[in-house]
Amino acid sequence: MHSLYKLLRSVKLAVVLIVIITVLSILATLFPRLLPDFYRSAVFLAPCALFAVNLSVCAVDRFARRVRSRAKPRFGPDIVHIGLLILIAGGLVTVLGRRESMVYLGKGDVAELPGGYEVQLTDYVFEKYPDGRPRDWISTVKVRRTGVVVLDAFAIEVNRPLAIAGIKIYQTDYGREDLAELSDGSGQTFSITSGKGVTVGSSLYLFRGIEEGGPPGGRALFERWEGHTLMQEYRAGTGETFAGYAVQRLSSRDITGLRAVKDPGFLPVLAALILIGAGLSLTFIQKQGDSSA
Amino acid sequence: MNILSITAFALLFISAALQAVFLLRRKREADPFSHWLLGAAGALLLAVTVWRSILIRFVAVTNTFESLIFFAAFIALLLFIFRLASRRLMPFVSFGGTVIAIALLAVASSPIAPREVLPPIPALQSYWLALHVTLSFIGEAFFVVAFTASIGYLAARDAEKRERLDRLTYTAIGIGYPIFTAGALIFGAIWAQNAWGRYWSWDPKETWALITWLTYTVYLHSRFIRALRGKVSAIISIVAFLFTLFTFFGVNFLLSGLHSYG
Repeated sequence: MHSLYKLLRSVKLAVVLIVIITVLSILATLFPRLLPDFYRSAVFLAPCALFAVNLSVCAVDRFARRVRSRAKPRFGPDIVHIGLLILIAGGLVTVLGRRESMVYLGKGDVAELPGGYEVQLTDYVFEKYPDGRPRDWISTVKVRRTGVVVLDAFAIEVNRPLAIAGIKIYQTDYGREDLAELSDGSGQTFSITSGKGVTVGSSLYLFRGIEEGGPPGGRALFERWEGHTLMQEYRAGTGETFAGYAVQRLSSRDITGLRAVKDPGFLPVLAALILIGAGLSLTFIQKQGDSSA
Repeated sequence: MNILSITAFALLFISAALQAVFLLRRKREADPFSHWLLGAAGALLLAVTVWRSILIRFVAVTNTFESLIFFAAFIALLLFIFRLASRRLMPFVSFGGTVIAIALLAVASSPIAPREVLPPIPALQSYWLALHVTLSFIGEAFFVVAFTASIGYLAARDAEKRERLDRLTYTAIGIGYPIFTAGALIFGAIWAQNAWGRYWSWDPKETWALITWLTYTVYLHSRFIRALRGKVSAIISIVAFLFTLFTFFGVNFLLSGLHSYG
């Protein structure tokens, strides 16, 4: 039992484990296709888990010896080690508890969040530099809870997420969405967006989007799929028909891609990072004090 | 602006030549003049960073060219400060560091580092990013000193000289490690969380920053293991710096990921 404790508190074991983790990380970056999802595999997690145990025993042992000894207190490394343990714990909480979902909104669209919250996109601007590179994506949203406005206008930008009800909403993507207004044989009208389709018998007519050229307003491109097989392509401008449907109107609009993230692990990780920073700073200051003394 | 970086390059070159002459004469002390050239070159390169920052209205460390200029500036300034403050910096270490700064500027002048003055894209418009990049490079400038001192250690035959070089390696890593940790890992994670909602994504660049950090961690702990002190420690310091370079250059050109702009 004592020899196991001696092994687990040893710096040599820590060095061996760090070297193993380092080599495995190198292999995973050099051969990502051979080692997919490597960082969640037992081969990687086992040495990490053993390292966490080794670090815990080292931290406790070191701290106990420091308290007992009459030497000058040097708690910097202890704070770093505790920070690292909290970091590993926070990382685990993230792996187990992090949730995210992506939503694409056009002006006026609403997305529902847990807790009765609704986010409505009231404005969206895509700013560009004169050379055409992106300068900013600004999604202005209104937030309601059970119908009551709780936030009238918040501009979500990259590096400026909206935090609400424990969830953060990030500006992540942008694009354009095409809309086709169709009417069937009975005269009933409905709209579909690019990527969606209508089913007729055993066929799915998938609306791929609007192609430039041809009649004014462009032409809608539809694909007819039978199961996983693409059977035929159809192109139809406004007023034209395909498969019994008439195209009434074609339009497109800008959409913004927002990512909603809930990560209960980030706060402990942030606390851990602060502890690691503080511990390293303290170690450095004390070492400087020692060398100037 | 070009004239500033070209002048800095020339000053570094003259400084390296002066140091080489003194090294070849096998003088134990460094020459009394070359470090002033290093200081002037560092100041000029820092002026390039400040000038570009004014033009783009952001801290100019948002592409490879700007990063190389900033990195070279800090290496030159650090070598100058080390020499000025303590005279502990040995001639070989100063020369090695100067050669590395020259090599970085040579890469900056090549086509792989376009020098257009361009304001940053949205993901880079964050002061967390500015802290992340600047502190990472300041930490790495200390690693340059440790790297050249470690090479000197392996080459030296005199025990006293080896002791001094070992001490210098440890001091440089001892200072650079917390700065690099704050920049590369702490502020990098905070920036990633703020920009993408994910503080860690096993992106090749961040994984290699972790690999570099782990290797320097091994170096620091190798000091507690008698069998690893000295030669093995010096080799670990050299490998760690090679990993630092791979994190900066190798990942950009050989592996793909989120950091393709820097």
